[in-house]
Amino acid sequence: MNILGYADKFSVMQNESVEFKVSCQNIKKYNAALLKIVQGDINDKGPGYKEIKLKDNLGGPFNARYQKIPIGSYGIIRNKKIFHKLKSLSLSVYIFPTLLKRGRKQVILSRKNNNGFELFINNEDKIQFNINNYNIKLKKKIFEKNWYFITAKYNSKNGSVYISEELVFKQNENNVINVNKKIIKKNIDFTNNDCNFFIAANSNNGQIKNFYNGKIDSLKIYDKETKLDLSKKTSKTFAEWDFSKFISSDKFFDKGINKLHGKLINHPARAVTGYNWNEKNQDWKINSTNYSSIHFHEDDLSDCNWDTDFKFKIPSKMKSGIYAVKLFNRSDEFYIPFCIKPKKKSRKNKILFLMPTASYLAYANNRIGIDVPETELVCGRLIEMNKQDIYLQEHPELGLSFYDLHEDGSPVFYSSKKRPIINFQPKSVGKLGGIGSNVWQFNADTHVTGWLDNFGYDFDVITDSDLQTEGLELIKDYSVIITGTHPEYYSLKMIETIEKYKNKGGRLMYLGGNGFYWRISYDTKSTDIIECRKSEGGIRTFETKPGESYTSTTGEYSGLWRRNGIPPNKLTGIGMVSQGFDVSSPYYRTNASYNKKVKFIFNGVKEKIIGNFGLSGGGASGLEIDSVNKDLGSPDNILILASSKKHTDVYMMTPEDMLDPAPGMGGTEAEIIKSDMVFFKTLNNGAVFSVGSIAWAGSMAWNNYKNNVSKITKNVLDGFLKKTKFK
Amino acid sequence: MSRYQINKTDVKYAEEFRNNLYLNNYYHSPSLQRILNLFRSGPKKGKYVIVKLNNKKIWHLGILPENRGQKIKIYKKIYFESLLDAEWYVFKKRWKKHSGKELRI
Repeated sequence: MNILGYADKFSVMQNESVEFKVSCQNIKKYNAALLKIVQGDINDKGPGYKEIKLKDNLGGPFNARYQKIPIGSYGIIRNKKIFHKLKSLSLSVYIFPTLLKRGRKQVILSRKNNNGFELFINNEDKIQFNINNYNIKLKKKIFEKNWYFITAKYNSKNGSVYISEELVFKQNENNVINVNKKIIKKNIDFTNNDCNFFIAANSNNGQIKNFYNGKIDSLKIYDKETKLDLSKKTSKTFAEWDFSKFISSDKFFDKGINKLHGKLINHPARAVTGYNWNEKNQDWKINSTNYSSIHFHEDDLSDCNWDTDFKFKIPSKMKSGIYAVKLFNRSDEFYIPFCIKPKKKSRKNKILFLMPTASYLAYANNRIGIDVPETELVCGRLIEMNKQDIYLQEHPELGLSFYDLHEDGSPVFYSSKKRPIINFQPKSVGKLGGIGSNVWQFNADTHVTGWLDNFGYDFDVITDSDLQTEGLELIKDYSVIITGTHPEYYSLKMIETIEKYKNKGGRLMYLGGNGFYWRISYDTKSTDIIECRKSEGGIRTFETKPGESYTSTTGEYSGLWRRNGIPPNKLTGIGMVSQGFDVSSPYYRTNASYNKKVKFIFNGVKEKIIGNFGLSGGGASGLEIDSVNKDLGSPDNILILASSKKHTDVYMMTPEDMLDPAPGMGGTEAEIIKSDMVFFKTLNNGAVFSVGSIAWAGSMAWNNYKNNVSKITKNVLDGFLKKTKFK
Repeated sequence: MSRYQINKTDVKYAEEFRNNLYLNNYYHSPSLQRILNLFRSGPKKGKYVIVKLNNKKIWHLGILPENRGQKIKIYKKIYFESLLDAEWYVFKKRWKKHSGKELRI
């Protein structure tokens, strides 16, 4: 893969511009074409890949250039002359290192080029303090995942340096304060430099390096040698950074006299517990002083910050839909999909496809199958790697998803769109898509858009970002909203908006599985970054640490919507019950499917078995599946039209349902493990049709869309488009 | 990681696996599932994968490395024209690893 890129927007309107940021290696030129993406699955048993070329050339050939991905988080205070006043100095800081034993330097703080001062963990995992070319270090190694109180001092009058470390929580009588001191030189001029002040990294010839992994808390600088200990009785500070302020922002606050406020780069984790946290406080909003730390990671990434290579203005006559710019040369191609949303005053189509971009972000560049060895167990077969996987494995700088862990084993809280996302492309083959096409998220959703195209439906497209920013006004006039195959990640505003739409008479077709599962929040500045904290239950790669279940961006209690009082069952009638990624199963019609109220759904369908075929596991019910649970809010008027009956034992009950683990919780035995296809009326003649299976769309696309799953879906859509009242 | 240990009575489940494989049957007996859980669990380092290098239906044997950034080892000379053949090949390799003996069926 010699071409990578991303756009500045997921969603754009006519007459607006999209900027494309590109990085290339090993090539000199590339071209760019504009396409409409109709159906992205390349499986030769599928309906056929379909893209429509709209513009061959967007101004190329373009000169290829390399743009680095600047991965790693840190704090920066731009060069301030006030630092030049420092002659003597003392530092104190609490640290909680999370990744040691790797034989490399990790900087805690630095204001140093050739001259200057720097406090760091050296390549022997010992605390070291450097002033110009002088250094002092402690003799003992520090250990991971302990809070240490670190001090360092230089006295210009007598030339002494001092360094100490002390465990904050003593474990035994051997945990004494470790100290080292010596005389180096009087009146060292360490301030005569023009450089920025860094926290959790340093700068070497403009390159940000030596990232620190772990928490940093209560960093203070004094302009003299002073007594520093855990008693906290200290003199006036030169700088005193309080990370418990502005937790929802990328700023950090200096409550010292010099107001040396700083900025965070690449979104390190905030709203994380500090050295002084205790179990009485689980919510940072109640007492943020217990959350005075920031967790930095060498693999945080929120913005590649690449320069724009070209931009494209959307013509005023271009219809709403899913488009992509294809970057290509003779041997490589890279797609950057985006959505053109309808103009505000000319929303003419009755159908809206809601592109679940929050869920695309949650899975962006995920390393499932590469980093998660259990993947082979849940897929029930060997994991297939392709060129994209090989590239991802060799290029960790592409950043992480909510399915990965940071290198230090801590959870990934944030995912950003400002980076190349290699699994957000047509033609992409995933890991969890089941035997067959093995498509996931965006490319699986093109089974739905390809189906709409095949039957000639005109439809508009918006993204989750649009739903978040524009709310009900954006969707209220559509007759039918169709979801993607796996709209798993939802913010409060998004879920409330869909609920309001439904109850104002809107009609919702939930053509997926495991939807509306995790509660997310968006970054306060934009919808480019989402946050999720996977607390309390749910199928997940990690669980939140105690006290860290509230998002930093909005302060919401994150985790399952089920634990937040809005289970997906309330919205769609069904909720997540199991997952497995080998083979999918058919649905069997129930007696209720012959009810006159739902006759329109089964017009022309004679079969009792629905979807015993498909591109996603060979059946219509599979991958991640949902069923009715009235205790969780499935409405009383719900009709279960068909259900799957038996899945393999790769399918297991979810942790939130597996309250008392016992034998018999696999797919061949547990009754709860099934998809329910349901229909129910809502207020004002609204209605919901839900299928409860990610694999459903893979069956819609089977046999060139000629099959009973496709027929049922079409019957529902046609019925929903009519204004007739449901019985 | 599974703690199950292969024993000599398990050969019949290896036969079941081979039969299921070529019948595309993913509903295995509990005894076979237990063996598969052992074979398919374990750490990332050294885990077998299959690698498709282009659009052709040819899959190479591969092995995952320990850390991000390291290359996936790809055996260019060990390749399969069928996913099922690859699955059976790896099953036999894992059988030998866990039982110490060749699977001769």
